[in-house]
Amino acid sequence: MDIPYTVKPRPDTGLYNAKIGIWLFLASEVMLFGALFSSYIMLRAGAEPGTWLTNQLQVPLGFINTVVLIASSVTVVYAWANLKMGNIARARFFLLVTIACGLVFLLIKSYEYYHKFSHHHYPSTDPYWALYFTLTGLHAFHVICGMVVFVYFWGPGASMWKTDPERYTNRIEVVGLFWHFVDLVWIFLFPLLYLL
Amino acid sequence: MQTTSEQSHHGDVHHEELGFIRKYIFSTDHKVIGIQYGVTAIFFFLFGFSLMLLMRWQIAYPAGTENFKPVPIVADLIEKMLHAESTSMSDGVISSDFYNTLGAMHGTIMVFLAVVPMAFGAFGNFVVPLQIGAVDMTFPKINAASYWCYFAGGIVMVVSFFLPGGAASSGWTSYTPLAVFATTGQTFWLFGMVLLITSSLLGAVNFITTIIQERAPGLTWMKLPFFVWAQFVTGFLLLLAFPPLEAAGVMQLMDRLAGTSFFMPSGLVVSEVLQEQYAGGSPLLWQHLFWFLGHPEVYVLILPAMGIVCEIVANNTRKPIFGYRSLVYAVLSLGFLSFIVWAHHMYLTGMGTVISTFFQTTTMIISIPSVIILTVLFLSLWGGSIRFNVPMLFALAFLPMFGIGGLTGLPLGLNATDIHLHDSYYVIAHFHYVVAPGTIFAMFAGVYYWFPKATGKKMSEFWGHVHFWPSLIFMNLIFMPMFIQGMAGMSRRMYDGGAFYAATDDEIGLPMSVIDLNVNITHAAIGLAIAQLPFLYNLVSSLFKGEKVGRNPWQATTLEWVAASPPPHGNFEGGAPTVYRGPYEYSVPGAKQDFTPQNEPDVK
Amino acid sequence: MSEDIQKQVQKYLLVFYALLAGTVLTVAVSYVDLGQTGNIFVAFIIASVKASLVVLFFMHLIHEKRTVYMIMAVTVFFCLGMFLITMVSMADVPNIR
Repeated sequence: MDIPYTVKPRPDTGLYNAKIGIWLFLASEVMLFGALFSSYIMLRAGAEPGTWLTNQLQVPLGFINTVVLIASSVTVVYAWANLKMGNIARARFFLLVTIACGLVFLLIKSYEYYHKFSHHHYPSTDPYWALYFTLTGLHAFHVICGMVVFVYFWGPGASMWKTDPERYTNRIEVVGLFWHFVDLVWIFLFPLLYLL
Repeated sequence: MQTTSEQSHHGDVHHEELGFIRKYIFSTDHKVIGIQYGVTAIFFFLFGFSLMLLMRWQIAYPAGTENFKPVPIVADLIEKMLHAESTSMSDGVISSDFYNTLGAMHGTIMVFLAVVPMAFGAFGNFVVPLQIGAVDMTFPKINAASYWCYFAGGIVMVVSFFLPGGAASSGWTSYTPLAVFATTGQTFWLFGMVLLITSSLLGAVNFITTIIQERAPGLTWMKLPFFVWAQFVTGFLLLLAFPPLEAAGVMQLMDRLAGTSFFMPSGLVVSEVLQEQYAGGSPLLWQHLFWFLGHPEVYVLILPAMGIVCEIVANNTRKPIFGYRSLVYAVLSLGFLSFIVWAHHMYLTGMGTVISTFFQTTTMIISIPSVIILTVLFLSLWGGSIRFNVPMLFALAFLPMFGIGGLTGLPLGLNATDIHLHDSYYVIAHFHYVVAPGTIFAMFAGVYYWFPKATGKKMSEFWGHVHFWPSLIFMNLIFMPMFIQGMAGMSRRMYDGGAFYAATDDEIGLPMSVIDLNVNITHAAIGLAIAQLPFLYNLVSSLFKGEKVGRNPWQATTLEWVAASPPPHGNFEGGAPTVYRGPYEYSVPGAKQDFTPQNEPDVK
Repeated sequence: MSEDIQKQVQKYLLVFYALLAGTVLTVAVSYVDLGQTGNIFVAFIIASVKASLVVLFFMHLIHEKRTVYMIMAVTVFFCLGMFLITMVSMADVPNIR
């Protein structure tokens, strides 16, 4: 008993199962972050004029983090492209770079958190800080989840390359889609929280 | 040679070798998971129902009035199990806090732990892969994970009853700021909801992918049974409507645990104390996010029910469904529109005329596809030679009951009338008509209809009738009087059932005739509880000594009846069947029997 | 096959530079005072363009199949609906004072 289309695409949809699955999951993620962004809009629009905090964060740190995340997105597609060309060694190298980028992102993020806490900016301080910590916290949680999956596919999961290379390539593509989405959320978070 | 035979032997029995635990507890087979969902959901149905019986007792015989009667039989047990007197019971008196808990948890359990898992988890899991001719769900492990998330969510909800302060007590809607000040039970409620939402998301991803990817050869979209369409749309509703509640749940957790003010306004005064720690939040935000889920959720409750009824009506009228395409388009537009009607739950929040006009309009529009579906089902009865077996009785009862529930919703969708009816017993009656004699009757119909497929045995017709007729009568005796109470102005969620607002000689208030209906309703509710005993007996006894049946006991056309009863692991022995025709080809002129299964090729 | 991939890889690099440029631009623009609405609007436009680049090229949406388009179209529609309707309902509150 085998479930069809786990690796090969179904002819009439042109997609393999996991790809539909991840896009559906991302659809729900769009709604999750959509609801949070819409909360941001409501709270900011509802604030007394002039009371909304701006320019609270260190823009250079946010800028570096944006670059780091974008770079990690590129390395993921590189990893996938190398798998497509049959080069597992280079693919694993790029996965490693991706994981490293994620780590750098989280380190910078935790320094920022530490810095804010030491200046007595807590989630309870103000609606702006509540949104900042909730949004970036949830985003960081997604980064961590993505990294866990990458570590698995870089390490023990990579043995699948020997038995079923096509499926392994698909898996990297699927987790890559998730990772790009996490990057995409940050692209909106950065101006929203750091610049406006 | 020896190794070869050993290997082939090994291959043959591979699936039989799973131990009891792998096969029945941590199974990844969609049929087992479906049954697990069903059994767990039935437990929660009964649990939620008994909470309601306690509430009804309190409403009919409220403490502090001359009508007071202590809670019989279970009072001692509850007092011993839930330790804090103030938040549960003492001397057979249900405390007002405990009453609030009962109300909140009745709603939560019935919606999120009983009806949705039954309609989507149980029937969807068991029936959908069979009806589309698939070997299993696309992601069997995710399917199992979905069930276990649901199970864990259920445990968290049940455990919260034993906390000091009791379970959540801020209504199933958990409106803020009330919910933020509530006891620890509310935190558990939020964690439980996060687990349940995760379960629904995993389920939804799995269902949609399965329906898109695993359809049998020849089974094109317009040949899908309507039940599959209903589950498909339900999957999208869960997928896109639940995440905003998850976001809102996270924010409410932050409000409760980290002291943020997402939903807490400035200048909030509680018990004459200004709550200075909160500033700048918006209680309305919670309502928007909650009802953005809440309204699609209503359709999550009703669409699978419509699907089940459609299958059974077609099967037992022995004729094709009238207007299959209009059914499909109606269910698609229902799903679509259900996302843009949510604020009709919020007319009393002081919204402006523009936005309220928008929501009144969309609410009136969404009634059109609902009416189309109901009309199609009614018209399908016309000219059929109807078989009145037990599933059909429940399906037939669904039609007028859902009709009453749906049509009484129209006055609630219009601002002017809603201002009077909002939060009254009229609302309770309205949505219970949709969900209780509506959805739950469809669930019963489904259980009687697919039980032979799941077990290979048929449920007793006699006990089915003993179950059906009293249930139908008591359901109406419970909910019909609530319309009268609501229109007379009786509010919901009142601890004393409205006794405080009773009319006296010199004061206008609720007439005693209306308040006294409480007692009748409570009697009917107890009657309804007793009427479920034949069902439970039937369910268990038929398992052991029910009449054995073959593959297709109802002479039905859809693919699940091609498989053996019960279907083996992998469902179809000879691989997926090929589909040649639409789902409801009954009494086709010239055919050799009055039903033509979907996998029967055209005769030359 | 692998030559296609080579082309793809070059394209990824171009997209990367474009995203970097977008990030620099969004920071630069934030120091120009266009009024609050103006700044929000410009930042939103830049972010949307960057997001589209990620979705179209990194996530291959540009080559994707109809099913994915339909799923995402429905999602984006409802997400925008959620934004718009909550915004309008915020603005449309009767002035009791």
